[in-house]
Amino acid sequence: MQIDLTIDADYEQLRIPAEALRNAAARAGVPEVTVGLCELALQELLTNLVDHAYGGNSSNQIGFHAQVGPAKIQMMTEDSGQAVNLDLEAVSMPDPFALQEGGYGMAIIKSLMDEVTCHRQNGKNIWVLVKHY
Amino acid sequence: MSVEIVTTEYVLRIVTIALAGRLDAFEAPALRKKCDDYLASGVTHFVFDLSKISMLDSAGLAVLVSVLKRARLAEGDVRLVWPREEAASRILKLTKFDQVFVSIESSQIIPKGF
Repeated sequence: MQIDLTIDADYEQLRIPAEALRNAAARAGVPEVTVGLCELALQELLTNLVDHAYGGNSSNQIGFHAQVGPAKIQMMTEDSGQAVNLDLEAVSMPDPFALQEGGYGMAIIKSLMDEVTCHRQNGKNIWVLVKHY
Repeated sequence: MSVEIVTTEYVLRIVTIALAGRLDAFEAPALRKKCDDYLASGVTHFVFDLSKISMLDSAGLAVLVSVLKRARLAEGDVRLVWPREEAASRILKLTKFDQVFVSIESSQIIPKGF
């Protein structure tokens, strides 16, 4: 099952891909817990794109593509924001007792997904998240 | 000689904020604004009732952490009524904030230890 849609880089619209994913996953019989993990990872990624790639400018757009298969969910986003300059390997969960208010998103995504990659292609950041189930 | 009786009454304001639905990047600013207003008015003890929250992301979590940090600086604290939905409690466990926030059973119970 394939999902292809484009949203504005606006917090309110971030719910649209999650809802599309939930509907497709329900039709495909994906376990509820897997859908929940993917939804949270997707929400964190999309929020990061709005905040960091586009610096909160909601006039930009984000492409979302997902494949819901019998044993895996693959999600891909495209944005034409700032090039990602992040060492994914080095990302770790902040110490909660430091009461840091931010910096959890990418660590959450990594802990929820089986594969997380990002590359630059034709002036766009392409994020790919994969979850096997 | 009659006994001298001196009484002192302390009034502690505890604000309970019950939330329902999604607490995500879109909704978090409204909650932050409400909490900012309470903090500015001198409230330092909060209970967030998350039992009806269906989804919590790191933007929502950031508001809770921000309030906790500022409340503690003012010698206050924050308690949570734990979310019933796994989609809401998941992030608290993943980030280990379940070890930081004190949880209580119900927002109807005035927390002990404040």
